[in-house]
Formats: sequence, structure tokens, C-alpha cells
Amino acid sequence: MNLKNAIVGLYRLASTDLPGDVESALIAARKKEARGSNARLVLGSILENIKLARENSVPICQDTGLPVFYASIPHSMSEGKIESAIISATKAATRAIPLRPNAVESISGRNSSDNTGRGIPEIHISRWGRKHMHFELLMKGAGSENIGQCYRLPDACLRAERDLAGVEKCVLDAIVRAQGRGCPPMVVGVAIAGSRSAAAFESKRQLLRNLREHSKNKILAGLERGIFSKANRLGIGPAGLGGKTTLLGVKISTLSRHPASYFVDVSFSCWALRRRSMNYSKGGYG
Amino acid sequence: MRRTIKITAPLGKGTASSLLAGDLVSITGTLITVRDRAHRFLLEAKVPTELKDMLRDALVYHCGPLVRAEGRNFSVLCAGPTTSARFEGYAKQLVRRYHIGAVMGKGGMHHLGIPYISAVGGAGALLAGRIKRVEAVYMLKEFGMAEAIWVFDVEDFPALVSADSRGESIHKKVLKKSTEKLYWGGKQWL
Repeated sequence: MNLKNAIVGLYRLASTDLPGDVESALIAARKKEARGSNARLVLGSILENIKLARENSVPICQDTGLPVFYASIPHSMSEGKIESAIISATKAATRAIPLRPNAVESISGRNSSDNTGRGIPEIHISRWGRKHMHFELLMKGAGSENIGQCYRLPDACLRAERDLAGVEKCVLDAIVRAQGRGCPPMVVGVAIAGSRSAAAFESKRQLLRNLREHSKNKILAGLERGIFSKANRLGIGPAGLGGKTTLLGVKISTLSRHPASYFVDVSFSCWALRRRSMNYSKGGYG
Repeated sequence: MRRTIKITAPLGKGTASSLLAGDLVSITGTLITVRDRAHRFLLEAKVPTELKDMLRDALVYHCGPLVRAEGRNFSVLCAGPTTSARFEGYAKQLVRRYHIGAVMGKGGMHHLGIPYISAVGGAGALLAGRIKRVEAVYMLKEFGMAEAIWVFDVEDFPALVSADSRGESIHKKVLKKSTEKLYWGGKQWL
């Protein structure tokens, strides 16, 4: 199968078939909620929708989002060829699945109708020593994108210093500000870094991590667990209508930074975390 | 004891004031989608009379659907709600000018004097199954699929009244409780 068609397949999988770790977390969350509660009703509808979308191969949510690709390719490969394949696949997937056309030119307001535009799809390519290619696709909806936040520590309003407690305050603040607007229960990606751009890129990348996997760094793993449990005591709940599960997971990463800068970037995904990956080599894919 | 109420849209006389926060509703009738560009259009541009008439007592739905088009034959594949808070600046004017019956979306809005109904965010495929027909679409070429004004015929479309016409609001309660837990709890930061 050629690369373009393989990427169309990746688009279909990502948009219609919710990953197992996320679905399991939603099933577990529903069991925790009281019968007849708003939370249990909302989670019930969500789970029914996930099954329906998978069975009928239709997108889970009408906001099929902006596509973000993270590709690892061999040193010998041409980046231009990869980008071309991704752009072609984006147009084909928009027609075939279909995807909602979400690329709007920012000055004219014109929708391109095929999900391509300046900077869309977002494509990040890095090199590795292996012989095959690896693609991760994150289809990022606007509801969750619009509630992301960037903090500079120390933060006087939050009384947050440049330490783990300060980072926790930022994340909990972002969650309370969001309320139900990012379709809880949500997944949170957090990054500490020395620039806004580095922090934002790294925090969004955390959303690719499997929910069952915790940070290999013991300190960060502890922070992930702490924020997870506190956030779920806030009672915001599914759809922000109250309940025991506001988050499905917290994933944190740190980069080194300038001594004078301490950025904490918080990225959110809604419960419909549409992230899928594939390996590809000439003559086949898996 | 939670009430489950069948309602029609446009809303019948007395329906808006009878709905209470916490009621489950099953909607049969017409939904009209109004999103970012449509809010400005309806307040600033020349609006066709038939659309103005349709909006009276209507159930306005904050939604940018995913629709498959074969010529002028439309089938709605996915139609969950969008975040209503983006329209906060326009909502009161829209309700007053067109005498809207109720508003449906996700995440809530400030008190409008009419019911705010929450559809389950992301349950697009499920909700699309309750849309029987696309009656009309306005501004499709100008605004694109997500932003056009769609008129849907629905049957048993499920949702929850999360704020009522008196101002009782689940969103306000959750905001108060979560904010207090975080900022003013007996123990700071939980």
C-alpha cells in the first residue's frame, strides 16, 4: 500500500475508533458514578457513541479537529515526499471518511474545504536510525485546544513558586477555569520549559502517551498521581455537570530552561482523545 | 425524582418557563444551528424573512455539524454541540431580537432568561442518529459546513436542561463548588 493511502487509513482509525486505554478509562469512570446521576448518564451516552462510531466507521465527534503529525523517518528519506503524502492524504481523507473541513484562512475567513492551509496539517518530522517510518496522528479538536493555558512562575495570583507545588497550582487552576468547556473527563499534558513555544509543543506531545503508562521519573510520576487525584476531587465531572471523574489522566514532562524563565504549559484533550500511530516501510505497513 | 419530558421545537407556549434545571428532555421538531459567524450575521446583516420567522420560539443549537453532501442531498453524520461560551457577547441580543425559545450547546452560558440545554459533548454520531432530515441550509457557500445555518428535523433528540429560565443553573453550582474547593477550602489547594 502506498504511503498516502496508509495515512488515509490512519486518519480513518484515529477519527472513528477510540483507543483502548481511553475507552477502558471511561468504562471505569462510569462505574464510579451514582445511578441516575448526570455523570452516569453523560458517560453512558459517550460510551454508546464510541461503539456506534466504531461499528459504522463514522467520526466520533463532528469536530474532527486540526491534524497534528509526528513522524520519525530514516536519514535517507526525503522530508518533502513525506509532507506531500500527508497533504494528499489529508485531502483524500476529508472527502472519503469524511472529515469536517476545518482549515480557515485567517484574513479572508475562507474555508479551504479540504483541511489544508498554511500550517495545516501540522507536520513535525524527526530522524532516527531505523529503517522504517513511524507516524503518530493526533486529531486535535478546538474545544480542548481553546482551554489550554501557559503560566510563568512565580505567579503572584496563584501564589505559585518555581517548584512542584507551584506547577500543581497552575494545572489545577487551568482545570477550574475550563469547567465543562473542554468536554470532561479530560486528559492533561503538562510541560515545564524555558520558552513558550518549547513548553507548548512538549505539553501537547504528552497527550500521545498511553494512559496506563506513568512517568519513568519517580518525582514526576508522583506529581502526575497527585494532580490526578486532586483534580478529580473538584467535582466538575463529565460535561462539567458534576461528578467524580474530571480527568482520565495527567502526563508531565520537563525540558531544561533558562535560569530566568519557568514556563508551565497545560494542554488538554477532551475524552475523545483521537490519537493513533502506525509503522510504515516501503512494501507494507503495520 | 428527575423528570423526563418530551418537548417540541419551536417551543410551545409555556414550555420554556416550565422546564427546570435537571430535567431530561427528548426533543422532536426543528433545530437551527447558529455558530460563530452566524451570530454576527444574524445581528449585523440582512436576514431572509423566512429565517427570521423560523427563529421565533426556536431551539437554537450551537453546533457545526459534519454533513455528507451529494449535490443538494445532505446526510448528517455527526452533530454534537460546540462550546456556547464563545457566543456570550451576542447571545442576549440574539434572544431579544428574534424571541428565541431556548438555546442548546455545551458548557453553559450566563443567564439568558430562557432555558439552556446541554447536549452531550462529543456524542456526535449518536445525536446525528436523531436527525431525520436536513430541512434547509443558509450561508453554506459563504461560511462553509461548520459555520452555516442548518435547519434540522429531529425526533427524540436527547438532552439535559442545565440552566432554566429562572436562572437555576447546574453550571453555576459546579463552578462555585470547584472554585471553593480550590481557592477557599478549609485547607488551601485541597
